[in-house]
Amino acid sequence: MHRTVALIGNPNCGKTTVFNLLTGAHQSVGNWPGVTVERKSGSLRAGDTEITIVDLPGVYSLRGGGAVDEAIARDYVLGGKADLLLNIVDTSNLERQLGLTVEVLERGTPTVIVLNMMDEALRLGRNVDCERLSVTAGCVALPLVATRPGERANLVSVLREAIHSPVTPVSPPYPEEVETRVNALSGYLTDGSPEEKRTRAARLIEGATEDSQAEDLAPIVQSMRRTIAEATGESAEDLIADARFQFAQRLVERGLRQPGAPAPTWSDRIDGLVLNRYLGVPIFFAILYLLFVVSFSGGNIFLDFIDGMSHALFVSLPGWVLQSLHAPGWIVQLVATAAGGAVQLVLPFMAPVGFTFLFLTLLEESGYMARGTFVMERFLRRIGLPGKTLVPMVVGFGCNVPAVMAARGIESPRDRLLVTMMQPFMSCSARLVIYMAFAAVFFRSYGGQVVFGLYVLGILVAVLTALLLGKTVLRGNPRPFMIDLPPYRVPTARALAISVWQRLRIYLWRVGRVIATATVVIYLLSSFAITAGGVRPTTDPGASLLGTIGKAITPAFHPMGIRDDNWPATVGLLTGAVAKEVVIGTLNGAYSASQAAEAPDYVDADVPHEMLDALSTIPSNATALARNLTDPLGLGNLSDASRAAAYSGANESTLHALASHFTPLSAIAYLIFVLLYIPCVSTMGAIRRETGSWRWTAYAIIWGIAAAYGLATVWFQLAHVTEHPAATAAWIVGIGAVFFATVRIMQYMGDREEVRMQRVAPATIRTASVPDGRRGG
Amino acid sequence: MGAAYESTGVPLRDVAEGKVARIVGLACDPVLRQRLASLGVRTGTEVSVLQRTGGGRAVVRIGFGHLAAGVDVMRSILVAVPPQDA
Repeated sequence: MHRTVALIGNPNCGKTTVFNLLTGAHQSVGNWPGVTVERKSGSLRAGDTEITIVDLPGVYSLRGGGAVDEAIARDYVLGGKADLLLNIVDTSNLERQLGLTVEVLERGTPTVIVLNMMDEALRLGRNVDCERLSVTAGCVALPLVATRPGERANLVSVLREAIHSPVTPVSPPYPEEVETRVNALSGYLTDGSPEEKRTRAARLIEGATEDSQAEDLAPIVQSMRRTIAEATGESAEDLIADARFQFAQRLVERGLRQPGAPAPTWSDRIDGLVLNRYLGVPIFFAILYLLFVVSFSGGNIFLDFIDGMSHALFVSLPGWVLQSLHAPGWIVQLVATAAGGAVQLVLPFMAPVGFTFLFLTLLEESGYMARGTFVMERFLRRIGLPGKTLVPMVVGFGCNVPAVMAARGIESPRDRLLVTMMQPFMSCSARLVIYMAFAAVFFRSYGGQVVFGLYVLGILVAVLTALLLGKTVLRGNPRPFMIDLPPYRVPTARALAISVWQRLRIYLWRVGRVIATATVVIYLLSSFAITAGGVRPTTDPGASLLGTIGKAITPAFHPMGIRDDNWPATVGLLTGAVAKEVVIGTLNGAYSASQAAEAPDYVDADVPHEMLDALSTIPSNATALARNLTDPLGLGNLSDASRAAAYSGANESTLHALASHFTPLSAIAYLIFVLLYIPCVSTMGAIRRETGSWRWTAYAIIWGIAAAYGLATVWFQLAHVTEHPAATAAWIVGIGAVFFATVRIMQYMGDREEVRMQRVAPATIRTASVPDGRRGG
Repeated sequence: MGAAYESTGVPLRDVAEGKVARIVGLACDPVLRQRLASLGVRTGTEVSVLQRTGGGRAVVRIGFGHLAAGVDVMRSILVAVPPQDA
């Protein structure tokens, strides 16, 4: 027998902890259909019943008109997809939490009210009479402390029993004017018990449109709503919401033996510091810096280890095995060098990304994230940006993919889109490696300033992008800001581990897949050439497919200082569009014809020795952590050319080639392009998933390339204005004209969208797809 | 908390820290009103300003919950305070 149980509750009620308690390791994470809100489900077995547990997004109400996650929870509950609803409630704040409970009880689906965080409630002097609450609510009310594993057995037992128990929908008494119309409208409804029809009628009068008879009954419903408003001076939905609230208050009064009294807690004392008008901002930046350090330096402890182990297990070992079996050379190169190399490219990034996820999860679960957002909202609002902008930006310094994903926490679709479009311009760690290679050749004494300038430029372009979008296509104001402040809590190690692993798994599968595939494709393109006899293997990078493409498009980069003989730099940009991690490797291969003639040989591979070497990097990198606390980006390496070169991974011939094919000024132009154009295919894939829109993904790609090309060209042309003033002027005027034309087009699109919005019917409870900043909230 | 309240409403923004007030109205559009209601901010509820954080914003206590409110929200919530505390 199979049953489905859905968890529903307010945000911060401990729903995820209950979910983890029930499902343990048997969880899977995906997306709800058509949206990017995470869907978590798990399973458990109770006797002969296989139970699927679905974790619905945290919501305050099922009324709708809010964010996508509210619509998901509402549609799931109203669609009757669950055999049982577990309504998780933070017992320390029953007055607010039971509002949703009343809405859930109205559905008539078997429900269990889980009074979670009973320990915190008792500390506040709140004592709940679960039996009285059960009687009033018409369902089981179960006290629980979800962080205690020992409570699982009882919860599962109650759950299994409740699934099979019949239930009568609970409906609050409405004001007379509403009650009369609800009864009348019930008579028009087909299907369902009298109680179910009453609930449906109330929702229709409230303005809901998901009912199957909503369209047919629309004229009657509109007439009833008008009559109610004229008779009472208030809207029907406000009256019904008040009735639910009153009923919730009755549940609280009946359920509380001792109401307790709000008193200052240690959370309040901490907030006195963290939210202080003078200390709040420095504390926030200190924590962001810590996030930065943990992501870079903490991750670096294991990065070399994972890199070495990956090479040993996925490159050297298969290469040695295949060569020992006398496999054809092309199979060895394809399996070991290409495919194995692709895996080796992806896995090491688990370390910094994993640490980033760990720290972010800690900030969220502890309750600090809400505070940090509130602290910065004041300043960001002045420039039209949402309060939650900063954290994704900082995450982007490590990797843009989790930064794009971090924007999910932003409630408003408009604000979320703005922040997402900013992420590609945050200079990630993979780009830093490229900066290092050029710094080793051109900027030894002032490399730090150059790299810092690039980071600042990225931030400026990101902010300007958001401002431009906010004034044109995504007009509107950030929503009036309010956020629930949960008490500070110490997250359990188990909860942290599950959350980090879930996010990392998604990252590895989605990002890793793309980079691995791309690496194999790049290897193939650089290993084959089009000849008179067709496509043939080649060891000359200049003659390969990749080289041919690079040579063909290099003339387009003349204005930013790349000459025809510097086609490897173009090839580097091509492969860098797929993944920045492969750029230095591409340059190493493209600049060095002699190296390209030799394919790697694995006959003498010493896998155990490689693994031991990899293991030995952990202690040495760990001891470097303290030094890196004040230099997480490793900019100190720039003062020493050999260290910078070693850090970048560029070989000797590449460094010589850079010196001969670039000048300092054209190098900066190249780096500006690297900074601003497509970060990687994985980031674009993340944008596509998070926005759900090919149009916005295309915009991000085109805008990034245009910004990169425009700024790099302006820089190079201005730097050589005395050599060719007319050409420089022409380029700058041309780029300026294109920019202003783009802005005008975006303004036009924004105007059209505003006109379209004015024609759309007034907002209904079902969520609309337009950015809600226009609703004037 | 059982003190009599005057019926005139002032923005919560103008209420001193620590004073308990009762919400008498919400001067905002229906969307914001609905959001506020879902967080327990509704007419008749008692509210107090716990901590001012600059820029017209504050942390407010509503029942056993805490809400961080921006300046627009602080202006929208109209409250009445006990006469002796005004």
